[in-house]
Amino acid sequence: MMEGVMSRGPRKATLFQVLRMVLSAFLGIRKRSEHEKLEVSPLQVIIVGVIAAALFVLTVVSVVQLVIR
Amino acid sequence: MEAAHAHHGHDDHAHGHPTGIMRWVKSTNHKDIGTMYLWFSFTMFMVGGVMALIIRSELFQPGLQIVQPDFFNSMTTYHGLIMVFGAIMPAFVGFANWLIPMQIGAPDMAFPRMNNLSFWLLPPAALLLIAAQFMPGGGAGVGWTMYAPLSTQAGPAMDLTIFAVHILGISSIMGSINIITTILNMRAPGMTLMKMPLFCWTWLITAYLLVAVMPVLAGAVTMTLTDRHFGTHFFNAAGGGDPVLYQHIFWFFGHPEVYIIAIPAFGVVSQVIPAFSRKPLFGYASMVYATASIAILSFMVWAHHMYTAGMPVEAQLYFMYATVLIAVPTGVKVFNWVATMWKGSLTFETPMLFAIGFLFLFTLGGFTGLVLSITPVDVQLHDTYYVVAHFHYVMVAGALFSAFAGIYFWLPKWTGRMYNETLGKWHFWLSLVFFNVTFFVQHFLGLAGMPRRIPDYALQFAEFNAISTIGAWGFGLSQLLFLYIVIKCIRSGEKAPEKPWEGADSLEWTHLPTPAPWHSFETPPVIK
Repeated sequence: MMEGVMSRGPRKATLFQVLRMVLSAFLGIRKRSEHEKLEVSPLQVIIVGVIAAALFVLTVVSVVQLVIR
Repeated sequence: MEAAHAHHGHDDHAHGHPTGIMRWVKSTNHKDIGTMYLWFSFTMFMVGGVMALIIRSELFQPGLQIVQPDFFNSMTTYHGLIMVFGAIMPAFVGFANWLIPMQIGAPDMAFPRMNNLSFWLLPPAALLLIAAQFMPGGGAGVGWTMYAPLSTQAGPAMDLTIFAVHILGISSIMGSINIITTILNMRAPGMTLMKMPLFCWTWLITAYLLVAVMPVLAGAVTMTLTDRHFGTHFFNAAGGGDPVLYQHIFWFFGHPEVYIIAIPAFGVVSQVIPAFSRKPLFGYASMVYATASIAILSFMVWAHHMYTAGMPVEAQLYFMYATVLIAVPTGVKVFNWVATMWKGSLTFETPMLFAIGFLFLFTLGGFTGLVLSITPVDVQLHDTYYVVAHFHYVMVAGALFSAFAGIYFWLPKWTGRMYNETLGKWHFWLSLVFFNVTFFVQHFLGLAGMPRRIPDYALQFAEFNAISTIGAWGFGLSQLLFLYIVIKCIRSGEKAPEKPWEGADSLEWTHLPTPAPWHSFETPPVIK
């Protein structure tokens, strides 16, 4: 299915990379190669994901505040 | 692959099947339980379908001709409940049971006995929903959403309905725990999460959604129950409660529920389209990420179902913006399916036809969803037939067509026999045409202002209602053809080749014989 990806050995992801990953998930666009370069634990994704979701809500709420002012 | 064949051929005879009815009653075999789920769901599809035909027949002409208004309300209620909880959800759990262990190289589900219990909770729940029709005062005509205060004032049928919803919820939660544990712990060596077929991914995400929201629904109906019988006032304004609270709780469950139904359907389509395009799925990683984010975002948009219930303009704007944004990852998925077909060697067997039907009509249902997400538009269209048309495009042309695609796709693997391709194509075209005859015109009815859940209507709606009813009968009768095709396939279909679809590349096609043996992957395959 995938060729020789594991042999290169994934690197541990930094916080910024996990954030990038979660944000690209919100958009729904992500290169497979980018995903395979990184080693990410589910816990990292869940924590960053929940924070990003909260930020998403806050962003929309502030846009709303801006609009109704 | 050869080794796997020899091995399973041998294993199959090592210990015999249980036979007779006890094979099914006591079954812990994921394939048998999957089969039971699928037959149960088809049975409920027929029951809910008959209710739909009663509704449509009454609406064939203005005026009351066939049923009384109370009974009509009961039909709209139980049609919705039975189709959502009895037909569509169990159908995809059936797929999950059959396919997840085979696709990840596991011998069975993680908790086989709990799997048995998950299934056997369904028939009692279904019987409660049907028995509710025969309670004093008839079925509870409260709508499938069971809004207070109707639900707190309805007759004893409501209690049976509440109990049925509780049982269905418990079944779903147990099924989800099973699916999550199976996928996370029982994958064959080398089967990393990102190598799984997308169908397994979609079910993993769906199972988390189910675990998260089913207790919310259970809470909502339990509060209804205590309001009815134990003196609480959660939804009673006179006692300091708030009926709108029910709507918020219900839709906090209800919107993710839409994705609980749609996401496994995405999974099936994501197996079928690549197989008949003879190309790998375009943007596999994107699809995984988009599905996960759709699931998370689905928790943040619930109040777009209740713009007219009364909420501050800030909330209306928030839910409108958030809803429009959730369309982005869904749109990405549609583009990915189209890109999968781009320059592929396409053939159009029945599963592919249903998958493409899904693609077109689900997209249309998604677009009308965007129309409804715009608050000022929704204030006009709320509770009209436009909404009915919208969610039937999502539920029928989305989920049901995808289930049909999956059944035709995996029938050879399940039964070892081929269905009749000509009849399958007939089933597709009849379903496609009659579906649109039924539901497309309902957009016009809604735009013209016809409310939903009414047994009688003003004269100007007569033509489109007559057309819609003709379509509904055509669609309903076409499904008898489907039953005939499946039974004919099981009893006397031609023997299926080992790999009837050359483009199919998940483990159940590449590592297992056709039909799949009763026990598979007792020794896990090694995935490179």
